[in-house]
Amino acid sequence: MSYKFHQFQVVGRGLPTETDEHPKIYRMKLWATNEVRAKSKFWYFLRKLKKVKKSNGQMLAINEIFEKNPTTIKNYGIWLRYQSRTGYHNMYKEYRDTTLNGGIEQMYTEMASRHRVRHHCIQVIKTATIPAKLCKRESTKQFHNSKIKFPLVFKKVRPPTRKLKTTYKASRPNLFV
Amino acid sequence: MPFKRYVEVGRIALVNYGKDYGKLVVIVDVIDQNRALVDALDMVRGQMNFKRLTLTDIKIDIKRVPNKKTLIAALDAADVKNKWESSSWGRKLIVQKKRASLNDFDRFKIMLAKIKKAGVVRQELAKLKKETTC
Repeated sequence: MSYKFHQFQVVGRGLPTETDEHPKIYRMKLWATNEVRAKSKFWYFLRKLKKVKKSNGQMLAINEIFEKNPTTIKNYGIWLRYQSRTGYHNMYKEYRDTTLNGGIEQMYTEMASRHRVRHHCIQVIKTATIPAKLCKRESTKQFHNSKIKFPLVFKKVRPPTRKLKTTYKASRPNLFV
Repeated sequence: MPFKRYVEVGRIALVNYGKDYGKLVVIVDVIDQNRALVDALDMVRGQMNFKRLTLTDIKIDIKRVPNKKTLIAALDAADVKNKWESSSWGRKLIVQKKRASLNDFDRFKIMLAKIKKAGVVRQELAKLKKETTC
């Protein structure tokens, strides 16, 4: 599965000066589509928190963070701050997914569809893997059932490859499961 | 018409689109409304959209997300491979695959066999016709 948003760990600090030989080192975990954007995001956030800019700072390390257990399902809680047409709001959203990157991508697409918020207006404050007991949203809690069972109501009839797609078919499709 | 095939832990499904087309996989857990965690003998456990799966009648008895060893043992215990290959759906797929992999000599042999079979059928039909008219 290729995800659009990758998680990076970015480490940087202000440049050492005569007054401050060993400036404090700051580390951030953030989501971006590539490393260049991740570095830029890092300086954007750091500027807002500390008196340091890219011009008087240095990047120490940037590593991509990969999912430790991409074969287990987890419930992700994401706290975010987004800009709507009228102002800034905070939000908490929950997603069920195998990887954190997948959950974040679900979040971005859902914010775009439900609230028309583009990805550059969204800031991820915090993410956490939530144990099933502490989930707040009914839409994630309904899948916390070890004996889950439901029928697939509608069968999507499609050719197994795009190449076999035709405009006209000889007979009507059978949509029953 | 009530539903007979349900998405549940242990349901065997056939992949009908994508890289793993034609494989029989076990639904090992449900992620959300559209996706399931799916596992098979020769693949890493991963997620798959229900749109890519066609449910079968076969269901095995496993707990949520078993490890590979338990899964293989459960598959053998339920004898999924033989059940699938003896079911009419499974047999049809095997025939389709065989037909697709024929070479010209095989097609020639089939042509001769078809002619022979048609000849025998026509003989019997002629015999039966003779009995009814006379």
